[in-house]
Amino acid sequence: MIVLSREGDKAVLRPSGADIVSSLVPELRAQMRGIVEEGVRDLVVDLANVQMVDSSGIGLLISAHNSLHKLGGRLAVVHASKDILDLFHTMRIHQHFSVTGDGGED
Amino acid sequence: MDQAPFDDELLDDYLLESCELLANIEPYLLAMEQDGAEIDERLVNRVFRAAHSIRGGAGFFDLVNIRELAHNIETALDLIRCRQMVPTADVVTILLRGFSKLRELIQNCRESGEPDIAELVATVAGLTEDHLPAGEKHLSMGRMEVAVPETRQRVDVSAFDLNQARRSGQCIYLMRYDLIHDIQRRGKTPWEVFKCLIQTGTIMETFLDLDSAGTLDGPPSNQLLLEVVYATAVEPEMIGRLGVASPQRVLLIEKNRPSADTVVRARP
Repeated sequence: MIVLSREGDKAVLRPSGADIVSSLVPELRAQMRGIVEEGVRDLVVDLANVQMVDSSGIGLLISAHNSLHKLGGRLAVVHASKDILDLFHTMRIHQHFSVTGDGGED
Repeated sequence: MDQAPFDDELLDDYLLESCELLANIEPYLLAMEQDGAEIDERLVNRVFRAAHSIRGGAGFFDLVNIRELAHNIETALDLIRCRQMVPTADVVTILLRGFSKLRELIQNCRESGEPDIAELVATVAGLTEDHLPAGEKHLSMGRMEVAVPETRQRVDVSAFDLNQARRSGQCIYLMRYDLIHDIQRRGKTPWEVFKCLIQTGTIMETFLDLDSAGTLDGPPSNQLLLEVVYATAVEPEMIGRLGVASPQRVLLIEKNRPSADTVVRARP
């Protein structure tokens, strides 16, 4: 289940009990596209309940970043586990959009 | 079932290996001090390789403080190795302080970015500044652009890494992976690929091709391209078969021969 909270042009997506892997990507992608079409420009993906992000999931986050960047908006990933932070740092993803961990570290 | 693309195994391996490398550093450094100008190359190389491995892994995991300190220690040891600096008592005392702090940072690697170690880093860097010829002061720092043959592409890498690769006669490659086709669809994880690369060489830099992921509009992209600049002793004939997943494309940037004199100058 993906929980969405929204206020103006800001939205927070919180995949709940589901990892961001290829099986979830189509649903999450559709939801992201929908809210961006509705005018959301400040999108936060909260990974508090996510243990795993696979290559498809990374691709989805980057495509969301690309869409928002084109529109003058921004993507932020928050509450990433230390494993996810390590992976994102290794791939230098944090140089493109904000990625913070459980304790707010980047 | 999807496999986890990452785990703590790689970081655990790095920390374990680093602790092993640091285990006998103090007696080695003291022996270096005793040898003075008559260095035992095998001994100096052993200490150098410890700093080199720790710095390489720290760069990979983006452990900034560990990387900075290890990099400066490594640079000083390289000068000793090249007989441009004698490991006097003063020099060894500073290196001992540096390694001691490295051990402390590695033992608390999650918080390693927090302490302010600028003064110690400056002290260790001062060794290099004091002993390098005036024209080579910037040699150990900065970035260098390297042209990729047969393309218009240029890659930006650490001048120090480039010098190391050239002096040790390593090949430098640009390897392109498609994380979806080359890795995920073969049941492999990015970590498995990175781990194998680290074991047989140095990842000098990585570049993620954001455009390859596309946007939310239109059909989903089925690729995610990551380029890795990689230095290794593995020859071009074998590089395609290296590791758990073959890269989509491998370009040889340089094939070097070992030389004590080959240096490159970083951008000021």
